[in-house]
Amino acid sequence: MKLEVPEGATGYGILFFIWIALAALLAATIAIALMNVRMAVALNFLIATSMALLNLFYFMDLRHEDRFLKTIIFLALFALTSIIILTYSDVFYRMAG
Amino acid sequence: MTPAHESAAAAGQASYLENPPGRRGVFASWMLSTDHKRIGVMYLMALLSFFWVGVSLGLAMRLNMLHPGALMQAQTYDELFTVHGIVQLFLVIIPGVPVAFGNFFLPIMIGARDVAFPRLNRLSWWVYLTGAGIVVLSLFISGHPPDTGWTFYAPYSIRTPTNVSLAVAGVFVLGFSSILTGLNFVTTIHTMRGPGMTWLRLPLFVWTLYATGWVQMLATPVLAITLLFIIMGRVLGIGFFDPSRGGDPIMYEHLFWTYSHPAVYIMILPAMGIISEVIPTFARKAIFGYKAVVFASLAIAGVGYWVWGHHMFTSGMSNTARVAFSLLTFFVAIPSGVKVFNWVATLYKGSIRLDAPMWWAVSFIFLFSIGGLSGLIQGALAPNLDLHGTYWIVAHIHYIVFGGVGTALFAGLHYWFPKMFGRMYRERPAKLGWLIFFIGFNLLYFPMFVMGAEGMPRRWFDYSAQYHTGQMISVAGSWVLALGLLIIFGNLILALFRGEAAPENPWGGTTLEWHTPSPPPARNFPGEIPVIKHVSYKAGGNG
Amino acid sequence: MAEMETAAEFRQNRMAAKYGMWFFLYTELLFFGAMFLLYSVYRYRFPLDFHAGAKEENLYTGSINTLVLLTSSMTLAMAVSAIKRGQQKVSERLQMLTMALGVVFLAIKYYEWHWKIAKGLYPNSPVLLKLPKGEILYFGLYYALTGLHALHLIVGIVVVGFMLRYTRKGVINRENTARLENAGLYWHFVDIVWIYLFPLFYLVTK
Ligand SMILES: [Cu+2]
Repeated sequence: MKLEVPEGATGYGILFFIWIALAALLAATIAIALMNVRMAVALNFLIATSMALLNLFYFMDLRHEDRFLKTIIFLALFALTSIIILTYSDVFYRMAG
Repeated sequence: MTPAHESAAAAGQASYLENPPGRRGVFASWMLSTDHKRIGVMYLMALLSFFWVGVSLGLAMRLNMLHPGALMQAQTYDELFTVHGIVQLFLVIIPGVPVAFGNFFLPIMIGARDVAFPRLNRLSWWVYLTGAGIVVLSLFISGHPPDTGWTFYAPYSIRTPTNVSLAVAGVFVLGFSSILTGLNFVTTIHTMRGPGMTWLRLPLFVWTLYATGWVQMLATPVLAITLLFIIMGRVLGIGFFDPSRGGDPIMYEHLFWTYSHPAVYIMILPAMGIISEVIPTFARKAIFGYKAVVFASLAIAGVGYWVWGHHMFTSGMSNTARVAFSLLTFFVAIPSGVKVFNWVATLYKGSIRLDAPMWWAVSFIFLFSIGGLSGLIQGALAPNLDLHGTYWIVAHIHYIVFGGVGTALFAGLHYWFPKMFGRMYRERPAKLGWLIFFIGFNLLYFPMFVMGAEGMPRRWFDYSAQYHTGQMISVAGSWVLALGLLIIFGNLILALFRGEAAPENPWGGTTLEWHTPSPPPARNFPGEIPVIKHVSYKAGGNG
Repeated sequence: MAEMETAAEFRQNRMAAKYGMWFFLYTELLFFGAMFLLYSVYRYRFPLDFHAGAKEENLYTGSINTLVLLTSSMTLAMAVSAIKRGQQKVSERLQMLTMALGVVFLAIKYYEWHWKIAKGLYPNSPVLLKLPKGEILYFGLYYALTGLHALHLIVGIVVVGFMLRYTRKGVINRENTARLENAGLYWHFVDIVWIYLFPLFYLVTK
């Protein structure tokens, strides 16, 4: 009984290249923090997100998954985001005390 | 169909209730079983047992109101309402419909032989038992049972010397069981649908389990981490919710209700699913607006995420948040209203049969509507300031959780009992039990709306003279309700042993579970899985 | 007929395993998400205390640890790639390397905790309780978040250990990679959590 492999294996070269990119982003995020750039927190967060995306799409191979799994990840993120926004509707506007 | 069944029976298609040949004893064979039907039945038995524990505690609380102080101390009363809440909510109603009826019927209804992960399903059952065991342990181990109320509000839950850590740990463990069940069901519905079972042919009960599964997966982890922080606060002194260490108790409330409001939908959605099965069957009519009901289920699950703050209007959170949460709360009433109208429209011009399950379903609509509409009143900001923390809230939660989910559970129990156990119960005692229950329920809880509007605080051990009449009616109602429950359970237990053999389809249902023998064989269908040709509710059905 | 059904069932089970694992990661996302929310609220309230608390972190060990974890993610992704090409031995070595990197991460983490505890900075300690409230929260969050992350990593190491056994026995093979892929998904997720934890504790600027 021969069963086909549903998707191809990611090449070692690609994975290594992603690792290089991740290491570079790590260096960048440390540099930003050390140099006291304005909006460093936001930049750190953006870089972390791009690192997470590289991880998701290449290491976790999300780019080869079906459309449902690609879409539904936004459902989870959306749930989390709405929880955060609604909590901050309290935290930002609470009377000083 | 019938000759095929007979030949299949001859081929050795034994019912799932019969022990498979082997060296395992009956108990081990059930506990180690990965059959979703057996797991569902075991859950059902556990739930109903814990239900009676909760009922007894509730009766004792009511009994105290006859003459406060004669029967128990105030501390005991605090412990009673706490344990009553923990048991009825976390052990009975939240797992409730999905673990019992969902486990049993979801695979059959979508035309599958089992859930996607049968061994994970068994693990959830064991985890449930472990969590329940830890909760029970917190009552009997040295020291006092928890006295925080079921909400475990900080910072009191961090400081009280009672056994809060154990109870919270138990609820934490139960959360895992809930997550695993939701994950299993959603995966099952995605990957295991039988031949011809497209998404828009799924029975509505399955759709509600699907929406519930998502809420279980995406809300329960928030409760888990919050409870973990309560335990860490007590054991390690991490003061995340302790103002003396910089923590914010309102953040505890946010995180707790971020889970616990959606948890209301974990309870009520599958209950609505049962009603959406029972009403078309007994009205002999397709459900009115199938797609609207499906959409309403998903909308309730979605919008249900954004309304938790309505539990916190008097907590000291910002005005901006109070207005936002109040507005959003009104939005969530819309899909619930859509469902009620769909059920009523299904009844219109139907040829209605009033068997026991139908009485339960109709009373669900009545009690749930009272619960839901009272929810709108307290969801509005101004009245809430008056009603918060009064008996009004107690009445509301019981109309939703007991009058809503509880009656739907009984509707499901009477609807599916013949299928699950292969026996018929007697119809007249079933109806009598329902009637007494219904009268008792309203006697018990409706006076609480009145007392609450007049200012009777909840969780108080004593009351002033002006509430005397209301309290007495309510106490009497609790006895009537208990009598009704005794008749209902007595009738069903009797049927379990002495009931007549149930036919394959006693109510003329059209979904797949009615196209297999009662009780179903271990592999769910005697032969090939029937092919679905259209929505299950089309007159005439499938098969 | 029976042969065909097996193939269909195989595909069905494979899909279920994938879906189930992704769904599990969503629950983990909410689990850690709630913790991040708590962190952000308290940091918003006590920015200066968080800044002061973060001075205790060692940027060198933190950065090295991040690199270690990123590398381990790469080696495990390569292990999946290897098994899909039928290179069983290569995959086994890469899995061992992944576990080893996980242990290195934990060892470094252990020393970080050790240094802090030696200074008397741990939850409920007399030293900590004398500090400003925001710093009490900062260190509480540090221990809770990195502790729960480390716990997840320990689970990950054990899981990869099992995968190694399955690979050696041939249960995981060229045709049957779902388990190893799922172990990888979990590992990468734990890595992603750290990617966010790192700036929250080690890169706190003004
Ligand atoms: Cu609510």
